[in-house]
Amino acid sequence: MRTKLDQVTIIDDDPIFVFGITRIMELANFCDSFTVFKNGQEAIDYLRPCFLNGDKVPELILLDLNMPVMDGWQFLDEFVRIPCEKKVVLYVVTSSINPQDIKRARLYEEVTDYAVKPVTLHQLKKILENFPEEL
Amino acid sequence: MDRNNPFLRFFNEQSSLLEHAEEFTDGLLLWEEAHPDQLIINSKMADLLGRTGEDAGCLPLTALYAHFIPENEQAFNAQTEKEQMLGYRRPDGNEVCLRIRRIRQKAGSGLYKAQDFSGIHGELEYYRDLELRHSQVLQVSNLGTWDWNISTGEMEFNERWAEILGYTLEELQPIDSDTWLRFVHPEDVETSDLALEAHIDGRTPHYECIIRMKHKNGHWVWVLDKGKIVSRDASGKANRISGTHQDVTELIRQENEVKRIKSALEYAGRVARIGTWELNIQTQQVFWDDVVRNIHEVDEQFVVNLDRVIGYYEGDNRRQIREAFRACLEEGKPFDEELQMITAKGKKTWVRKVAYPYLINGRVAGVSGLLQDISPTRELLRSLEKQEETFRQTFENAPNGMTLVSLEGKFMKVNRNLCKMLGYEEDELLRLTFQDITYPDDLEQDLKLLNELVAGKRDSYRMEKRYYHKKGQVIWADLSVSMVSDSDGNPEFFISQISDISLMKRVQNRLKEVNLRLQSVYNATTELAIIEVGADGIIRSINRGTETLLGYSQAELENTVHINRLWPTTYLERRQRELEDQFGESIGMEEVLWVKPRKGQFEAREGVMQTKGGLPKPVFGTITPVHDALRNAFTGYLITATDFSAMKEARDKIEHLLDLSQDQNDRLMNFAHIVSHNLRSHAGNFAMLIDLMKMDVPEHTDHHFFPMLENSALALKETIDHLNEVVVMHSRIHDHLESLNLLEYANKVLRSVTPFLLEKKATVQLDIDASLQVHAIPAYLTSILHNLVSNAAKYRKPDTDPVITLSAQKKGAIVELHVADNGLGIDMEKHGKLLFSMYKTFHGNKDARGVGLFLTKNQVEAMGGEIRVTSSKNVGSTFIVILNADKT
Repeated sequence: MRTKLDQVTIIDDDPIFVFGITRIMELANFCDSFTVFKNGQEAIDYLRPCFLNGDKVPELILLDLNMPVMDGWQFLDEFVRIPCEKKVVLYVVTSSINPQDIKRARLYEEVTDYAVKPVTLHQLKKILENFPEEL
Repeated sequence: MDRNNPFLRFFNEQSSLLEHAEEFTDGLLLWEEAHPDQLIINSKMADLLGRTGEDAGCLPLTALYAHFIPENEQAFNAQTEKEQMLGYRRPDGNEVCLRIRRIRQKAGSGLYKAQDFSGIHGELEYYRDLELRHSQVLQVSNLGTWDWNISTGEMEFNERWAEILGYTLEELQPIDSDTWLRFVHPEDVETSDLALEAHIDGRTPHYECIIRMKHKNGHWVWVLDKGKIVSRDASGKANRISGTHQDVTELIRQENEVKRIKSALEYAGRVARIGTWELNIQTQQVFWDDVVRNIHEVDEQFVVNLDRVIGYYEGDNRRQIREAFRACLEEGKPFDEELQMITAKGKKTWVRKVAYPYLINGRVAGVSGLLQDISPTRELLRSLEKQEETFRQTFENAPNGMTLVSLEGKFMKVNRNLCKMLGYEEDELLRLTFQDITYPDDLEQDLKLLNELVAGKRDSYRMEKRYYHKKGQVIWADLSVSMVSDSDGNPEFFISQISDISLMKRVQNRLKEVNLRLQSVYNATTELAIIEVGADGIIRSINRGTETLLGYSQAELENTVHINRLWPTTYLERRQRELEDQFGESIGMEEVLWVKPRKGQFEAREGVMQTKGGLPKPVFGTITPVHDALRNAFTGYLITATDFSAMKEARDKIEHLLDLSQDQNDRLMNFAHIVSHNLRSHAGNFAMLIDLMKMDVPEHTDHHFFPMLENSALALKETIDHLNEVVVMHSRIHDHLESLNLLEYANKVLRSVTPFLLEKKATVQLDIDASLQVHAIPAYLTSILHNLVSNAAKYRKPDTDPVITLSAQKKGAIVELHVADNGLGIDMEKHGKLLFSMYKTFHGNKDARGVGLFLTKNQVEAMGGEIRVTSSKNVGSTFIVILNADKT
């Protein structure tokens, strides 16, 4: 079992949530580093060249759905089109408990799971437990 | 007299008896074939005959003559064994009477013995013998005898002679030659005298005549009177005559009868081409008259006998006539047969052959008969029979009722269909008259027509009338009557044909009724325009509704105006384009309205018509083609239209309202979205921050505000979750309902709440059949069961351990689930109405979450079920959930 992840990317426009989750990660010693993007557009702009150039990419992406500029769904649609051999673990993390959203998220092969806010320490530990050994 | 005359035959029989007299041998005669014309006689014979000389022993046959028996025309018969009485005149002039009998016979010759019967001695001898035999015969043959001595005038009669006249011999005493005269008919005296004279003078061999004699009872008896001179004096003058009387009254009667029949037959033959024939029994010869010959197609030279007659018939006909003749000849039975014969020229023809045998003394003496060619009659008969049979068949099998009715109205003959129609058996109907079963109101008309028929004012009549069925109901019938008259033109009976038209009448009446009703609807309708249009598009009629709708009067439109005038041209042009697009063919303006109805598509649509003033009028209308089923053709169209203005307005309003609701609905959805996401994320942040505080700055959590803050955050999150679930429910209805095993789900739920139940010390009783399947959404079913079971445990009585019973029953298409507890119960009066509303709690229980029952109710109803509750405070509650049973 992995005890600590390398790099985590958080895509969420809610600064309070970002503050909370990063703080919990620090306290839990969840990862070495994390990057934060305020919306899908920023995230895809940064991540696409990384994947294409074979630069360092995050092991885990936590993706919110409701965001300005480019929301989570739009991001997913862009993200799946990036040709990439490396597998990334992607969690949709959202306040929405709308079953339609959950169902829709499951349609993406790239979406590992769906987590409902608030994210607790307990949930982060579960993510770590279920993290695949080899990516 | 004819040889066939019965009197003569009778006499022959008499004479044959005479031939049996005894013999007296006086001489011998020999006859040889070599010399058939002579006899050789011995000397004794020659002496007797007074023959002398060379040829005394050779007697020419011609010398012998018949003596007593006039029928013995051939004087000597060499072939007979019978004795022959022959006369011979001796050379001295005296007559010798010889009795000759054959005593020997060899091939080609015969020896005969002769006795001299001449002289008193011989004759007396003969007659004594004769009388002896005679008396025997006379007793049998009922002959009276008389013996008259002419010289002395003495007369002798026997008993029978008197008896014929109804007397005894004694009564007639004294008997003399005048006795006879007392009885004989005056007219017949001369007849008798003449006959006697002729005999005595030698002109006749014997005396014979038929005379009438007075019977004791006063009637005349016909008597055959016969006699013969039995002795003469030396001068040859007759001095004694003997004779017989025979009662021939019956024979005369018969003869007259035959004569009468004969003359009748001749008459009939002339009139009806009936021929007569006669059979002579003795000769077997048959006499045919010209008509019979004509029928047989033979000429008058043709000789007929009985075998030939029979030869004209073949097969069965021959057997039939042979048997008829046999019975006729042997038993005296007359016959009258219809037979088929084949003429001499091979033509087949039908004849009627009648034979009438006449008897004498019980024996058939002859047969008279007649023959009629009945071919024409027979053909006529056969064609009549055929006609009769055809009529009978027609009558019996006629598809309608047929009957022959007497002039009085009595049913004389009825066929099956009539019986069936009227419900009677044939024999019942034949006892009735048509008047008996005619509906009273129709009788007068029927009788009036019938009388006109009898009076010759009409040949037949036809009317619709009513009869009573046997069971009492009224039958409508179409009656045709004609009359049959006899050849003199007198009415004989009526032939009636009766067809049951009850059904037609009922339909007719129904049609009339419907028509009337439709007409009244048509006329009375002011809200609905009804327009009849001909196939040519010209308006035929409009109702008041049309006048109201468009402002035209009937006179302005009917029979002159084309229907298109009632629509704005722009509307018609638009329709024309639409229809051309739809059907891909060009459509004339005249047809625009008909295109769809004519293609069998019922046209019912909104449209715009045009009022008389040229204003558009929104209408809802239909166009129906009117089809004439009989002629299988379109005869026009029926247009209905209602004013759609008011309805259109109402519809616009409703559409506006719908838009409004949609708008509000959208806003609700937005609200739901806000609740579900935005509110929730804030609440989530609260919870997260509080968690984080506990980890990051544990020292700040000591403050007594902190737990309150933490609780508030939790409660907020939960409330938002519930709210969300309610909102989301709407979208979940689309989830698929599945067939779920109720027991399985109950067990699953019970397992998941086990810790909770243990904590509450609750026991659960499960009474659900494993076969029960319900039609439900898995998540909802779980939720419902979970909610009800946990409620039941939760609202326990403080001092009683909860007992929860889950039971279910299938009732037709539904499954009824009961969840019963022994808990606090609910005050139904106070809370019943609000039980299933949101955010209501009724117990002050710390675990109470008002949203639970609200959700449960919504879930049950979303699946098409229902939920209700029975409860009493401090006894317990039973929740009843009704779900749809699985359909499969």
